[in-house]
Amino acid sequence: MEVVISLKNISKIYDNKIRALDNVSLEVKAGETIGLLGPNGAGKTTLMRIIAGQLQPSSGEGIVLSKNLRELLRSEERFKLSYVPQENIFWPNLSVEENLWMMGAMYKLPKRELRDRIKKLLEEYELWEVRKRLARKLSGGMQKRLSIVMGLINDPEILILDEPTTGLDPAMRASVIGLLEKLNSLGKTILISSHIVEDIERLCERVVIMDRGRIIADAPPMELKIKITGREILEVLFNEIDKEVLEKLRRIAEKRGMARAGYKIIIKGDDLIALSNEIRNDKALYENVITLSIRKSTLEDVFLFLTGRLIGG
Amino acid sequence: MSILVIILNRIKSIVRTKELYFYVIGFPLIFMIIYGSIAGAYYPETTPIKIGYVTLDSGTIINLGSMSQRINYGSLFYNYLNNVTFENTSIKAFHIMIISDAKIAEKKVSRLEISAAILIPEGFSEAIKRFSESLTRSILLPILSKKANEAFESGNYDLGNRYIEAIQELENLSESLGTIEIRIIGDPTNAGCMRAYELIWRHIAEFSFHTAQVFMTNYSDYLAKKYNITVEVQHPEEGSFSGVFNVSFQRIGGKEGLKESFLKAYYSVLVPGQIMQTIMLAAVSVIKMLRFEMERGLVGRIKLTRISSSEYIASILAVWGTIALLQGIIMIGASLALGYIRVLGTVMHYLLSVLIIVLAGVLTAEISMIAVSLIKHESIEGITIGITVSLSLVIAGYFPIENPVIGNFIGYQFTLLDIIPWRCAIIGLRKALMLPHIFTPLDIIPELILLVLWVIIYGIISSIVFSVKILRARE
Repeated sequence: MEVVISLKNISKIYDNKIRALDNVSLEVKAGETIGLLGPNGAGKTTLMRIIAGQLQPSSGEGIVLSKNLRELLRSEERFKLSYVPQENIFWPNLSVEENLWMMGAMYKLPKRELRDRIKKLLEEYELWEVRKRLARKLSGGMQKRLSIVMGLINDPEILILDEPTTGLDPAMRASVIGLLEKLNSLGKTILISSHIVEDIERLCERVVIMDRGRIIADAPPMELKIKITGREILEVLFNEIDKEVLEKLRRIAEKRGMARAGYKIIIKGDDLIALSNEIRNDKALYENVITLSIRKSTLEDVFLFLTGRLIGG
Repeated sequence: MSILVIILNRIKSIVRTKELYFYVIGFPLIFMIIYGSIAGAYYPETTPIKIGYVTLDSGTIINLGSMSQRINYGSLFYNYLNNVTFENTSIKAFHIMIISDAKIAEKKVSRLEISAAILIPEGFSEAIKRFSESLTRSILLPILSKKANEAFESGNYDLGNRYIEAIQELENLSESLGTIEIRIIGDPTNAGCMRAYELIWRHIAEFSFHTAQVFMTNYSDYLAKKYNITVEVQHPEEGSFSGVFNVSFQRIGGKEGLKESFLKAYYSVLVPGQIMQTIMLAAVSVIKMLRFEMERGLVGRIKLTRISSSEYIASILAVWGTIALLQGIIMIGASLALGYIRVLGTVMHYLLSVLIIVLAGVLTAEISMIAVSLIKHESIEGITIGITVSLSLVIAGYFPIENPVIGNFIGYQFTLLDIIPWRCAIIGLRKALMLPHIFTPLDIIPELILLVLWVIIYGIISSIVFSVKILRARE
């Protein structure tokens, strides 16, 4: 498959002191849905803005849609790219329909084609009922939906979505996820950033984990989990963890691998049932345990093993 | 088609932003009503008007029997005006500069160094003397005749004869009132000039009557002493002789014989100034709109579309030109409704006013784009309100600020304040809306050309700055 985004050793330093990106290299093939996963400040937005031509890298080279990053904004290729930032972008005092007309007019689409496209988008992404409503009067989920749909008016080859589900309540989040799943099926190249693990796991066929401006892992979610944590992990939540408890756990876990986040300990490796029994049999240790479970590993576990921290902090 | 859709939607978006109404219409309208009400009720006369005084008067000789005295009423009128104060205050009404020649006075007026100049003609003293003598004769003659008759009827022939001798001497005084003429040199579009004109008209009458009364009193005393008679003077009403005075108006650079009321002159400052303040205050709204698009990522998103920098800028200028047109229509309508202006001009005058307003709106948007490109801090909105309100009041002429002429531009006197580009729009509006009976549409062309030039200059600057700093910028 054709490579549509190719970044080599991209760094971005703000104000000569804050290193937002550090030697990042990334290749994205046409039709891939890639999730950028990482905590706040990991460099996801900076990376996306560089790909979208909004930011200039301090060093490194990049090609997007066969154009050098420096030439992207001056080339015709930019019309094949849509960038939807974390904040909703629309004109709040225009109706849903007017916003789409406005954005469509900026792409100079012929009137008839634009009318048909707007109608199709409104119907397909469930905005038809609210098409006459002012954007500022929509619910949070609907506003996000409009913001994303405005990014589709040019029928882009690459769609870059920065934190599309952040700040939404569960119902609204589900509604936006539904929209993104629909987009997935269209075969477009999609880049989604998020710090919500479930969203990335659900939507993306490949995940790029970022931390402190660097890419620390890049693979399909399942491959990453198998490689870093295994299919299953043992999670133990303690009342309190002192040196003695920690030492005991390390001894029990032996070479399996263990990661800690506050009062939570996760252990990977083979024969987790035997391991859980061993903990249960140690009365002094088990006294402090609140929950003990063997479950399927997640990308959050992967991140914890890689960085020693949780994505959400 | 696309650009029209963008312009139309932008206008819809602005019109639906209710909080912007305050800056765009509400604030200037409130200001206009308050100022207009104050002007309609009374005028706070507190600032001396700078005028020039040119006297060609050679004086006259006043004879009272064997006593004769040379008097120069031109000089006395100067002293009189120098002591005139605004009503109920101790503030002098005029700050007078003696000027030797009418040509120099004209130059000073055209350079706005003085608001107006008074030209006292050569025969001014003679005219005052004639008026005083004629008034004295017409008042004393019936009084003395009556007294003479009474003396003869009572058998006092000696007293009667003395009255007859006094009447014979009185008949030597001039019989004709004549005309007292002075000339005012000034620009009727200048409010200071019109205030001076009003005051001088009133004070030339007062001065002449006062002089005549003094002459009459002295002459009565003289006759009473010389002929040993009693003369009881009844002074006449000032208004019954108003036809005697002629204050002609010499308009610098054009038509003569104009007399504008003070209130009209005041509104000629108020109304165009308020309309332009409305247009200038829209800068706050332009900046709000642009900052919203910049901060919320819309500009970043727009960078990926097919719209070019020049099309984006043109759409903003077209929108704010249209908004200015709406503002102008509302403000002109309000001024008409409040009686600040009367429908006097031709259709062409009103079309030119509209054109000036639209161009001023475009100019405002251009300057706002430069400001928002250079100052990214959020305080820019507050700063803009302060600057636009102050500048609009200054260039509208609300404050007596020295404004020397620094050049002539195709018939337009380019002053120091003209560096503030909206000023020519105010002058143009003043001519087109307030004084259309004096200025033909052709007279407004210099202001229009200067305004177009400002629009072009700031258009080029704003296009370059906004494109480089915002539309093509990558952080």
